[in-house]
Amino acid sequence: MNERSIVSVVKLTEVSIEKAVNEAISLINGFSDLKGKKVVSIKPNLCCLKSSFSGATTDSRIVEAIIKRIREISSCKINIVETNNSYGTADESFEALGYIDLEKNYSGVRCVNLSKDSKVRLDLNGKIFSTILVPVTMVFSDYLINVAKLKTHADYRYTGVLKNVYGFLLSSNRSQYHGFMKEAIVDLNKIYKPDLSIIDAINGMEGFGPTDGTPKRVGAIIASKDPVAADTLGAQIMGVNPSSIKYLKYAENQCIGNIREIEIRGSDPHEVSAKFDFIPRKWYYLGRFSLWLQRFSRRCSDSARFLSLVRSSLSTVGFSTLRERVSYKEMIRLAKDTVFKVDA
Amino acid sequence: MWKKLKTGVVGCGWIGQSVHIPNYVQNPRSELVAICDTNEELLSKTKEKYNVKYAFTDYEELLEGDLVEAISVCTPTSTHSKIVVDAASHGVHTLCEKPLALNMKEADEVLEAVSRSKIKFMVGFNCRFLPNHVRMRNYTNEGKIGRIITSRGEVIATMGPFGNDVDKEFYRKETEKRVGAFFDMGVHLVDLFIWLFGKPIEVYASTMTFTEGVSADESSVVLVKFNNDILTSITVAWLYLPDYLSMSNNKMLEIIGTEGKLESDLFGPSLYFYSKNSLASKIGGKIRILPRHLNPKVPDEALRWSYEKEIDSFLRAILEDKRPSITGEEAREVLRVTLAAYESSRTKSVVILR
Repeated sequence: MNERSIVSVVKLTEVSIEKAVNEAISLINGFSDLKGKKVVSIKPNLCCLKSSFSGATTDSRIVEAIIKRIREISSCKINIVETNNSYGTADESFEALGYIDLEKNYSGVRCVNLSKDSKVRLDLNGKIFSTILVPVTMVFSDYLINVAKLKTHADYRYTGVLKNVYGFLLSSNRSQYHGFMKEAIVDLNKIYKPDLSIIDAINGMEGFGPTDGTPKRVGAIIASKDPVAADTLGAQIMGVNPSSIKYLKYAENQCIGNIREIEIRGSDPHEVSAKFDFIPRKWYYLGRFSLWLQRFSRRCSDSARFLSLVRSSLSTVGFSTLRERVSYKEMIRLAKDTVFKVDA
Repeated sequence: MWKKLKTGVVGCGWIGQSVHIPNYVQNPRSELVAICDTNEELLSKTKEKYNVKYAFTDYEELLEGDLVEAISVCTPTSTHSKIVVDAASHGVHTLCEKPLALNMKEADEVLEAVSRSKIKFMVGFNCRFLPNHVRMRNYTNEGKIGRIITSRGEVIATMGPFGNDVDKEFYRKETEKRVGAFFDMGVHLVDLFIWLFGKPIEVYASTMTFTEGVSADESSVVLVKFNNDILTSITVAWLYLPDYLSMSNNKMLEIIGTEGKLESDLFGPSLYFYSKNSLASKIGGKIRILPRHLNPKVPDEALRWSYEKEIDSFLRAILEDKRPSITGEEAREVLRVTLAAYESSRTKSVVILR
């Protein structure tokens, strides 16, 4: 991706949240492609029932400001979407964190618990996901706004926009993909690539994020059409080198967005920078090691299944028949796809 | 525990052996008690394989004496009407394989007999049970692809007389009765399009024959216009497919709308959705929607599932005294369009359906 990505950052000290959101969106010409869209989905980060002041969840006032701005342009349907998590249901989160009020106060706005939505299976043929279950609401959504939270992550150091789409996974056991996070994030961001990415950096979270850390005041709104660029600036504000975040770098390599070619507009990023505390290095590396083990053990068992599949294909069909029907390369590719990719 | 219906299958050929008999054996609402076929060797093998109590070479014996409550008719199309009329006169509920009959006279006789006897009568258009077609219908009705501009269906396959392990002589005889590619396979598409769009009003068709000794169509293109101004083209052919064709999707139907396109595998399980205004726009404008419970990597799983559903639906209609999912009247409409296509091809003119 060679085109420069534009990211805006607006400090909240002088302006209200609504004005900051509007300015951040205007600086990147954020809603230039909204006209004509029928269904807009807004995905906040409601990963637990803690308030936005705890630094864990997206501030509903940001989503409210986005809705007001959309209403100036379009009368499209607006769905605020979230899935259930290990702490509770999305309905509980909508209720507890003030999102239900948005549904009540604005016409055409609906809080949708995607876990309760009817689902369809889509062929993804991604890096790790062969197929993926997608809620019907998302299939017919034509504009996605990802409103993430600026947080540390115990395993990946940083979490923001790209990682927020992990919340679209409908599997009851999302942790099974933790060892394959970078591939999973790239796969999910291909299908759920946001048209507009906003990071709630009013109150971030440091320490043992993304749910059990401590609040960290930053007081800023970040916006970009490029999710990787938004996360790059988020990580810089936090005091992390974006290139050291594996999934961010991998996303750039996979053409999801830019880390390097970024133009920053709005407030001076140095003015909003806040040095975040992270978990002690030894705990971080222990976590990384456990993820590596998860990845390694999974790959070992996959490799065993792969060899067994190739052997059974050869013994059933036979070398000569196989040569006539399909090429070895094709057979191995099929076997690889069958074994090394999962249906999420 | 469900009440079990005593069931029978008339005709132990491919469709009987691979679809109806195993499904009646497995379904908890059925007890397969009798089978019938004129081929004694096949009959005794099938009887032994599925451990069926009674086997007959004459279907009338099967219908006698309250032996069965419901049957499937899996015989050649030319025999459908007589068997169904006899079954109706014995009060035996009937699931008849498609097409309903060879001509409208036979179809009307069937419907009259069914109406008189008040049996449950269903015709085996199994494709309607495929989740991809159900979803296609829902999305079309919900306006997900906007206003419909045009639609198209296609079955080009190594089937009929060219299929594997097929009795060529049998097909030669069948084609003498005008059971060609469109009559045999095109009816699935005609049925689906009527189910999707409603009342057909005009038919125009052209048919071709390639093989010496075959008197029916092996390739046909049929245009059907519906009363809501939707135009459909249906292409059907029985061929020895060259490799490159057997690898592409030649069994499908598609609907093109002002805001998107839906393309559905005729025998399942995939539905392709092309649109700029949906999630599809994120992944190259096209998404492949798969049913949650069917694995596209398992060949024919969807097709097997549709047959399972079809037979279950028939049995439930009897037990719950419901209207069958596919009625004789609907099958008659399919036959009317099919015959109109042949008439159009013969007269080289548009046939207006009244």
